[in-house]
Amino acid sequence: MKSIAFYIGILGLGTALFSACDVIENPLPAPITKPALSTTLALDSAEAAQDSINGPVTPTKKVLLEDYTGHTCGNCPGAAVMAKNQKALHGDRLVVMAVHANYFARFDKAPYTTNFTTPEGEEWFESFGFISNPNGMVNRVKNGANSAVLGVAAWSAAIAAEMLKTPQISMNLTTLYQPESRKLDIKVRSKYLTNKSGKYSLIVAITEDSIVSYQKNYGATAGGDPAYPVGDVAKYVHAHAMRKVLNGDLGSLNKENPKADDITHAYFTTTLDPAWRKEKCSVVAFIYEEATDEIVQVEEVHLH
Amino acid sequence: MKRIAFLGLLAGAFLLPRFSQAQLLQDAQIHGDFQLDAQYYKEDKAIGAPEVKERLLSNGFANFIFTAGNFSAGARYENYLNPLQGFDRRYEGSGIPYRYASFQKDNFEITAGNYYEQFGSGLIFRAYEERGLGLDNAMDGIRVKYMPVRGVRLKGVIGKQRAFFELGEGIVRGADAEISINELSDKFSTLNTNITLGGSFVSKYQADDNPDFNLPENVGAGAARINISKGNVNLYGEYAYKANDPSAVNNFNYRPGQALLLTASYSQMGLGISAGAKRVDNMDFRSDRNATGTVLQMNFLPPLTKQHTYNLPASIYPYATQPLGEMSYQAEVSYNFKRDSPLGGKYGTNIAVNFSTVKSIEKDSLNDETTKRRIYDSDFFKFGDERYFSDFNVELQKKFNSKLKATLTYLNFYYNIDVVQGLVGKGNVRANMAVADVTYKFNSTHSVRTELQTLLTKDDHGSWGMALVEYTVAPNWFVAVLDQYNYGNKETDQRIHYMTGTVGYNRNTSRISATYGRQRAGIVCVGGVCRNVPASNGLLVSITSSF
Repeated sequence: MKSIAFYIGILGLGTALFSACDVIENPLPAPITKPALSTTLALDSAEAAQDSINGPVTPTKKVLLEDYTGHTCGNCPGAAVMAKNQKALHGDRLVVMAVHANYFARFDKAPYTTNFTTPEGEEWFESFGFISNPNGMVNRVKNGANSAVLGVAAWSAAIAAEMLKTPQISMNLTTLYQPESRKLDIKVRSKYLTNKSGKYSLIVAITEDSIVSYQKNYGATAGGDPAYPVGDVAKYVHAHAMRKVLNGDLGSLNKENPKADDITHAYFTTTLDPAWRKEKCSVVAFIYEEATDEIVQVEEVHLH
Repeated sequence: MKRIAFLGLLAGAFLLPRFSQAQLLQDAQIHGDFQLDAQYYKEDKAIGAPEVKERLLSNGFANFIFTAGNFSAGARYENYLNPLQGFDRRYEGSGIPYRYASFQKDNFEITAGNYYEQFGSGLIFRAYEERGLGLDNAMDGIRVKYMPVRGVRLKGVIGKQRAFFELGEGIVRGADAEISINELSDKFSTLNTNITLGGSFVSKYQADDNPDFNLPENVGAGAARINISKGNVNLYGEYAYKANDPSAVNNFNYRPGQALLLTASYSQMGLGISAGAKRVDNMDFRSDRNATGTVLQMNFLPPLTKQHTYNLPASIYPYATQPLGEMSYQAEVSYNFKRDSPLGGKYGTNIAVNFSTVKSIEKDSLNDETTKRRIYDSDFFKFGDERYFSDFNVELQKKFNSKLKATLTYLNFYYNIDVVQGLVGKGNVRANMAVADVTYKFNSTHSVRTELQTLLTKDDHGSWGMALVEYTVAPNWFVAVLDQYNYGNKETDQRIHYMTGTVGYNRNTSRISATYGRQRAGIVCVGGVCRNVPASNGLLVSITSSF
C-alpha cells in the first residue's frame, strides 16, 4: 500500500510539473491604442500652427549623449559635470539623457530608494555591453573596439565628431498636455533628407530634469563633483533622468529604405506619473539605423 | 576550534531534533579548501591593458565542510575586492553565497540551502560552478533524492539560482528519474547488456512584466535518455525539448527548443574509438529571461569538439557552444602501439586522431515577427550552410627512455570569429598549428619540460609562436617562463611578446605561485562556455590550500 501511495504521489508530482508550462500562441499584446482621431487632428493643427510661426527650418545635426549612471556610483557626478559642460558648449544641438541602470542604480537600500531605473535602460545597459558606471554612448556610434560604450574622457571628442556630420533626417516634435488627466499626446514628424537603405526605427522617451534626491559623491580627484560634499549627498540635483520609454527598447519601425523627402508621422500617448514635475519634463525622440544601432537624428522638446 | 564551533552551530540549526549533539560529533570531520587570486595591475598601452583604478584586485574563496555520519553541512565564503579584470563587476563585495545542510536516511537524501545538480548530460538542467569563468548558478532551495527500490533513482529540486550575491528572479523546479534495468532484479543483473533509462522535466516561473510581449510565465523542458553498454561498446543518447522560451538572448523567439546528443565508443586493449553527433536548436535556457552572458543559465550543452589544453589551440581560437543553433559531430581514434613492436619501441607509442566540425542549423525564415514569432523553421537533420568551426588534430605520445618523453601534435583549425565570438566583420580563420612538448627528467626530483608551439595563419592577427620552459624540483618548487609572440601580425607595432614568468611552491596540499607578465585580450572557455578576458599586465599571486 505504501508503495502504491508513493507512486501515485510521484505521478501527481510529475503531472503537476508537466502542467507547469505555458504555450503562447499570440506573442504580441494587443496594439497600443493610438490617439483618438480628434487627438491626432489636434496634434496636426498644433504642428501646422508651430510650422507657420517657425517658418522654414534649416535641418541641423543633433547629437544624443546617453550618460549611464547610478545614484550609488560615487564617480558618476563627475560624468554628470562633463555632460553639463558639453551641453553648455553645444546648446540645443546636444541632447543629454541620464540613463540610470544596473548595480549602482539599485534602489533597495536606504537612503537610495528613488527608482530612476527603466526596463529599457537596463536592457540597453546589457545589450550594449556596459560593465559599469559611469560610461556613455554618443549617438551609439561604435568606437574602434566595436563597442558603442565610451568612457567619460572620450565623450567630448565623440560629440565633436558627430556634430560635424551632415543631417540625414529632420525631426519635429509637437506635444499637447492635459493638466487634469496629465495625459500627454506627442507627434513626431520625420523628414528623410537623403536616400537611405535599411530599416530606421524611432524611440520616444520622457526625461525629467532637476530631481532632488540622494547621490553618492566622491572627491573631485576620484571622479566626483566638487560642487557637492563627499559622501551621501541628500540634496543632489539629478539632471535629465530618463523616466520612461514609450515604445520599448527597440522602438518602432519608422521607415524602411527611405527616399529623400519621405515624411513619416508617428503619434504617441502617455500619462505622466504624478511624481514627475511636468514643467521639468521633456520628450526626447531619436531615430536609429537597425543594422548598426547608430542614431541618425535626435530631437527634444521641453514641456515647460 | 572557532571553525568547529561555527559549523557545529550551523549543523545543529538544520538537524532533526532526534539527533543529539553528542551523537552528531562522535564521528565528525571538518575539511575545506581555500583559494586566493590577487593581481596587481599596471597600464600597458601596447597591449591595450587599461589602467586599473584600484591597482590590486582579488578573488578569494574558502569552503568549510562538516560531516558527521549521514549528516553534512558546509559554507563557502567569497570575497571579490574588487573582482579581477574580466570578471563581472556585479560580484563586487564579499559574503557567504553558498551554504547548505544535508542528511541521508531511509534511502532519502535531503539537502536544504545551496546545491549543485545535473540531470542526464545537462541538456535541460545543470547547476554548477566554473570558477575560472566566474560562473556559479548554484541552486538555493530544497533537493530530495530517493531510491524507492534498487535500480531506481529519483531526484526533485526546487529553488532559485545564484546571481552574484543575490538570487535570480525565476523559480526553478524539476524532477529526474533514472532506472538501471540490470539493478532492478537478480534476473536482469546477469545480462551481458546494461541498460539505463532516464527522464527529466524542469520548469521555471518568472512573472511577465514586459509590455511588448505576452510572455510564458511557466516554461517547461523535458528530456529522455538511454545508455546501453555491452562488452567493449557503449552507446548514449539524449533528446531534450523546451517549450516556447522567448528571452533577451534569442531575441524573444517563441520557437520551441530541441537538442539531441548521441555518443558511441568502443575500446579494447590499446584501441579506443569514439564518435558523437549533436544538434542544438534554440536551447539557451535561463531562470531569468533577461539575463545574458553566463548569468543564470539553467542548462549545459556538452561540447562535441576536443577541449585542448596546449596554450595556442586552447587560448587563441577556442570554440564556444552556440546554444541558439548548431550541428556538430566528432570522431576520435586512439591506438597504442605495443612495447617492443616496430612502432612501439621499448616503451610503446600512442597516437590519437581527432576530427570535429560544427555548422549552423538549416533555417527557413517564417517572416512571422509580428504574429507567432517562431522566426524560422528548421529541418531536424539538415545542416546549415555556415561552418562555425572544425578541428583536425593528430597527437603522438612517445617515451624514448626513462628520462625523455615527448608529445607531438598537429592541428588544423577553421574558426568563424563572427559567430563564435559574436563580433562583426572579423571573418574566418584557417590555421595550422604544431606543438612539441618534451620532458626530460634529470633524476627523481629534477625535470625540465619545454613546449614549442606555432600557429600559422594569414587571417585575423596572423601567426603566433609560443615557447615554454618549466623546471621542476619535486616535490616543492617549479619555475616557468612562457612567451606568446604574435610575430605574423600585419601591423608591425602589434607584433607583441606576451611574456610571463611563474614561480611556484608546493607543500603538502598547499600551493603558492607568483606570475608576472602580460595577458592578451581574448576569450577563455571551459566546456564550450566562455567569458571575455581583457588584456592585462602585472603580478598575479595565487594561493590554494586544503585540509
